[in-house]
Amino acid sequence: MFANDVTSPRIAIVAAFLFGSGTARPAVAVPQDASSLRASQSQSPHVTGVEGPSNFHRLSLPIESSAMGRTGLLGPPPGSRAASSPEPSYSESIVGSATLTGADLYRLSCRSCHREDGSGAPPEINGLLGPVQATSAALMEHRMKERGRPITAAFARELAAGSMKDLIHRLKVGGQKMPSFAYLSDREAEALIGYLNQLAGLPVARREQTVTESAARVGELLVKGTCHICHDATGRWPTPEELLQGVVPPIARFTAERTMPEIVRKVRHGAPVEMGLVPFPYRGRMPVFDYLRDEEVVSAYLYLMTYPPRNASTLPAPPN
Amino acid sequence: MRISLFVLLLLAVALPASAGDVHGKVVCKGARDCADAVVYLSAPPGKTFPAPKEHAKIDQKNLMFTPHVLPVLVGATVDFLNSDTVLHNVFTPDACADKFNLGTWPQGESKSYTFKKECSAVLLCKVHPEMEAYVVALPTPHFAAAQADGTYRIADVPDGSYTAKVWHPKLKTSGKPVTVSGATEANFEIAK
Repeated sequence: MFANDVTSPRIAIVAAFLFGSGTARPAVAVPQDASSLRASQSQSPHVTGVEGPSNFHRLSLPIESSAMGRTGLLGPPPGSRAASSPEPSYSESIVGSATLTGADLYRLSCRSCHREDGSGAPPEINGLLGPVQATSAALMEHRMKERGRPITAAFARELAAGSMKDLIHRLKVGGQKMPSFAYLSDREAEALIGYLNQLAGLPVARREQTVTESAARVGELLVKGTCHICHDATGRWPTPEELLQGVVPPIARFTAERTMPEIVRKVRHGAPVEMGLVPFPYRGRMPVFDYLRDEEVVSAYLYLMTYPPRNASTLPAPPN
Repeated sequence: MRISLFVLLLLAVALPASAGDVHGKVVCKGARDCADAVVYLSAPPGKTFPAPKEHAKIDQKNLMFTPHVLPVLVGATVDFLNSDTVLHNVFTPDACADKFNLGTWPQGESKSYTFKKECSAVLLCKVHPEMEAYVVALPTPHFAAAQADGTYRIADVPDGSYTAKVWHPKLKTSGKPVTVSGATEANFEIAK
C-alpha cells in the first residue's frame, strides 16, 4: 500500500531542506520520487499508514488526566532562551536502511509512557521490569531458593514460559490502557525484548539483536509508537481556541501545516504554540522528545508524506 | 406411653447437641505477633464435612494479598481477585495444592482454585516477588485466625474430644488434646 498523492515537488522540498544549510553534512540519500522511498523499504516489514483515534480517544480519556505519551519534559516557555533551539542536523542516511537496536525500538515505541528506565508512571502506567524479570527461569529458581522454598528447574521454566507468553500477548494485543503493538515484526519484538531483559537486569545475549529498517519503517514506528498515543490519525487542524481547550492536532495535517524543520524542532526541543480566542504564544502541552534523533523525526515526516494517515475526521466542524 | 415417647423424640430433635466456644490465647515466640496464626480442631474419626458452597476470597490490592493468611475447610474454592491496576499472577510451589499457576490477569478479574486436600500452601505472584500469602485448608470448619495479640475464638464447637492445633507460617505447628464441654479455654505457645 502506497500513497498516490506523493509528488516530486514535495520531495524536492525535503531535498532542499536537507541540503539547504551552509553547515557541512555527511552525504544523505534523498528520494527523487515516491518510488525510491518505496524501494528503500523493501527489507523492512510491510509499512502502513497510521489510522484511527489516538490512544487517549480510544480510552475516552482527557489528555490532562494521563501521563501516557507524556512522561518526558515539557518544552521551553515562550520567549525563553531555550525556545530558540538549534537547527536540526542529520548524521545518517534517512532514506537508506538503518540498523536499529532493541534500545532504539524501545525509544521509538515504549519510552514515552514507560520512561527511560522502564519504571512507567505508577499507578497509571505500570513499570515493565517485574513482568520482564518473571520471564527468567533462572531468576524464578533463584528467588524461590532465597525464599527457602526451592522449586524444580522444570517448574521454574513453566512459570517463566507463562510469563513470556504474557509479555508477548501484552505487546501484540495491548492491555486495558496500553495500545496494541501488533505491527511489530517478530524480529523487532525479539530485539525489543532483548533490550527489556537488559533494562530488567537479566542476563543478555552476548551479541545484541538488531533489525535493519527502511526510513519509512523507522518513521512508522515513531509515529505509531509515540505520536499516535496523543494525536488522532486524521482530522482537521484545530483553531487556536480549540488548542487552548485541549484539542490535539491530527497527525494527517502535520506535513501540510508545518515544515520539516518546524516539526523536528517541535518534537526534539519544543516550540511555543499560539492558543486562545486571541491567539497568544504558550508553551503548550506537548512534551519534548529530546531522546529522539533528528533523522528519526525526519523519517517520521517522510513516512507521513508517503503513507498518509487514514480515517475520517474525528473532530467536529469548526465553529462559524 | 406413646405420647411420652413422642415428646422425648420431639425434645431430642428440637434441642441442639451441647456446643460451646473454644477460646484462649496463643503465644508466638520468635514472631512479631500472632496475626498469622490459625487455631483449628482435628476431625473426629470418620467425620467429614461437606465442602462450603460459598467461595472464599483473597484480594490483591496495593501489591499485597489480603488476607495474608486464609484458613478454609477442605473442598473450599478460593477466588483470587486483582484489585490493582497492574497485572497479577498467583502460583504456589506446594504439591498439596497441585503446584497451581493461575496465569496473569488484570484489574477487576479473578481466578479460582479449589483446595481438595489438607494443605498449607504459600501463594506467590511471579510478577511481584515481594507478595506472599497462605491458604490453610483444614479438615474441619472449627478454626479461627488469631488476633495479633494471640487471642482467638472458635464458635459453636460440639462437645467432644479433639486435638487442637496451631499453625503459623514461620513457627512450628503445635497441638494438644482438648475436651470441649461448653465454653472451653485452650492456650498455646508456639516457637521456631
